[in-house]
Amino acid sequence: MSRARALASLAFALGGALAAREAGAQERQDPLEGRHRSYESPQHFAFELRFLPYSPDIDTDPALHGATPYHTVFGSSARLMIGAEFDWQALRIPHLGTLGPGVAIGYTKMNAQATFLNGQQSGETTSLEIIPAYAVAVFRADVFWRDARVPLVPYAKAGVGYAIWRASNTLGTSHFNGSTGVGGSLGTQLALGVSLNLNPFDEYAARGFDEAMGVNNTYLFGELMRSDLSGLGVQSSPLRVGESSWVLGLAFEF
Amino acid sequence: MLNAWAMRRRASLFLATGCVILPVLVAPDARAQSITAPVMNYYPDRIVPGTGDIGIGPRAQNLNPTGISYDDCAQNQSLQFNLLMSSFVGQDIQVWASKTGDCTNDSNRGNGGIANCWRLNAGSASVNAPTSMPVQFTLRVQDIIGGQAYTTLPTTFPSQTSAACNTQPSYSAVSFTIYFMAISNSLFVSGSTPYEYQLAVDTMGPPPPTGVSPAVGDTLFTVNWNPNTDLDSAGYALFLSPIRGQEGTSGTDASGSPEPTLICPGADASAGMAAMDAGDADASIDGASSPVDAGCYYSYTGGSAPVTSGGSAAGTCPSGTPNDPVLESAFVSDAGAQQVEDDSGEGGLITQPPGGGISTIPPSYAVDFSNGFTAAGVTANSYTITRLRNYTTYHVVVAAVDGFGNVGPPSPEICGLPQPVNDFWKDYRQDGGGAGGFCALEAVGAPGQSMAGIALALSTAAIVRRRRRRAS
Repeated sequence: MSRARALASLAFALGGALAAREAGAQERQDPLEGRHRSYESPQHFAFELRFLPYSPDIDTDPALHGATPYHTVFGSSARLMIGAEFDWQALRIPHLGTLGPGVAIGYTKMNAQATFLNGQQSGETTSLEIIPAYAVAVFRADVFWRDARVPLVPYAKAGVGYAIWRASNTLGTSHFNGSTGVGGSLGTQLALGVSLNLNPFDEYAARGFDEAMGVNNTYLFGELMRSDLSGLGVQSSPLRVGESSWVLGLAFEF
Repeated sequence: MLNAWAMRRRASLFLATGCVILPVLVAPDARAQSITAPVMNYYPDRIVPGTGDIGIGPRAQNLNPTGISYDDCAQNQSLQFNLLMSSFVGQDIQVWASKTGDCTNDSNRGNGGIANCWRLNAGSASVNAPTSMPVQFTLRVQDIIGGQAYTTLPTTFPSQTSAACNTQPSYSAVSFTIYFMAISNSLFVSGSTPYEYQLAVDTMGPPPPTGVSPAVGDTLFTVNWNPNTDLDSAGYALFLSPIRGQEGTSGTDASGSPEPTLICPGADASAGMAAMDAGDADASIDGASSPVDAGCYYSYTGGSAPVTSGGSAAGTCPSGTPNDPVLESAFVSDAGAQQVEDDSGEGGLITQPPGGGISTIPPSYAVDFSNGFTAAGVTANSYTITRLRNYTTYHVVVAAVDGFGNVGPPSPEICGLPQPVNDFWKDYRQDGGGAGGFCALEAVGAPGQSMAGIALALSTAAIVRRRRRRAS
């Protein structure tokens, strides 16, 4: 069933791509095209709204010796993380794509009922908040869209990540034996993804969006990312709040 | 000639008519008795017995300072009006009050109709004040409020007692109008100008919230409830027993001895406060001989010796339990229309009336009156009481508070036993996790990690050095 869905999705994407390509071909023959292009606003930046399931790697910490405090307290279900990324497309490589730095920040929080010492559920809540941020180099290969009118833009990101986290309970930040449940974790950030340009699906709206807001391209994107916040070799015993996950979102180039 | 004569006659007639009619039109106005306030939006001063003049109202603006609350009434406050009267030549000044009627209408004062007004013990007979003169009226709040209980108008109006403070029929605020007016031969002087003052009164707190339930944790007690939907509630007050910081030694075991666990039936309204039987005086509720306290007893874990003597069978509480005689006495003393003790059996239920009332729990039991009168806002549905002592049984009730500061009757009591919990951070650290803090960078550790750190530091130093060279 899922395979059939995947095939249908692929067919839809290819169909959309071909249709867009055809439309692009027709657009090139349009005598008004040159006039439209002269109105296209400059493009230097990208902004992403990111949504991903988050299930941190805390229990993979070797210091825990196989214990699973995160899973025990918060369970196995992933939490929704919402994030935003801002990229500067500092360099345009002709007939290839853009390259530049990007920064991002996200937020997620997980809650559960704390337990009494006898294991029964208490009336107190225990929470973990994670605010991951990263700085990455972003390469977007938009050659397929710009030169061949295929509305798919593969991209890659690599850089460093740092997450601020806070463990708390009903009374506020948690404390235990002199340690306070707040800190930061350093690591690497890697991502590979592909964006589907939505402009060819409604060119009139896309032109209006550009003229009114300066947005050149709107994308729906999917991404596989790996956030390995295990200390980067310079941090001892960080709380491993990184994870590997897929990401869905909307991106705007302007 | 004729025309001139006729014109002269008409003119003289006109003048004569004018001389007669004009004084008739003007004279009543000039002689009309009037009672007025010295300023627009006038408010009378409050007089508290034993204290004196406290101004127009001691409460904060959000608590309707110019209105009358239950406490104002119970304090036997008086309202002191300083007004101006003029053009009185032997008429009486009378002061009447009403909830619904116009007291300048003679029938509303009992003259040939159904009385909707009652007379207040103020005013003067045969007043002579041809020019504007100050006049002072002191009206007891209890007299103003108590008259609403009249079913038939009495011939005399005796001073009301504090029982008047309980005559409000529902928990919604009531508006009274006080009339200061000229009376002659028991009739309102037609054409005179009375002074009318609108007085907002609320002597009954809103009903308690429903669905009150406990949730305890480490040194805390969270109380949950369903918020009231009536417009009369302005917030919630919580009462805790024992008072925080005055727990004494009851029910404690923080040093390894057997830990007492309170069995608290959540739905049992009688838990912890029904320790009275028929005929018991409130003061003896928790006496050693008081035999019952349904639903409130101890069991013991981790050891065999009971913490307290006196038995632990269901339906009994040993002496020295956390039940607080003052708090319970407050529940029981709020008798009459507010709460009813069911003496049908041992450990009877304390039932709550559907309407409002007034809590008589001493304010010292109130928790965190953050803004002067409530702990939680009107939309709140929970409140966490913190800084409690673990392994001590606490009893909590919630009461709604209205916009006049009236604290309504309490909810059924709930109880709980705060005790330590395991939260995520505690679990993580106990399992061996070493995270914590923002500055946990170090160069020691596994060789690979150290090398990576050193490489990063060297790279950074090289970049900085190269930039400096370029700059020079």
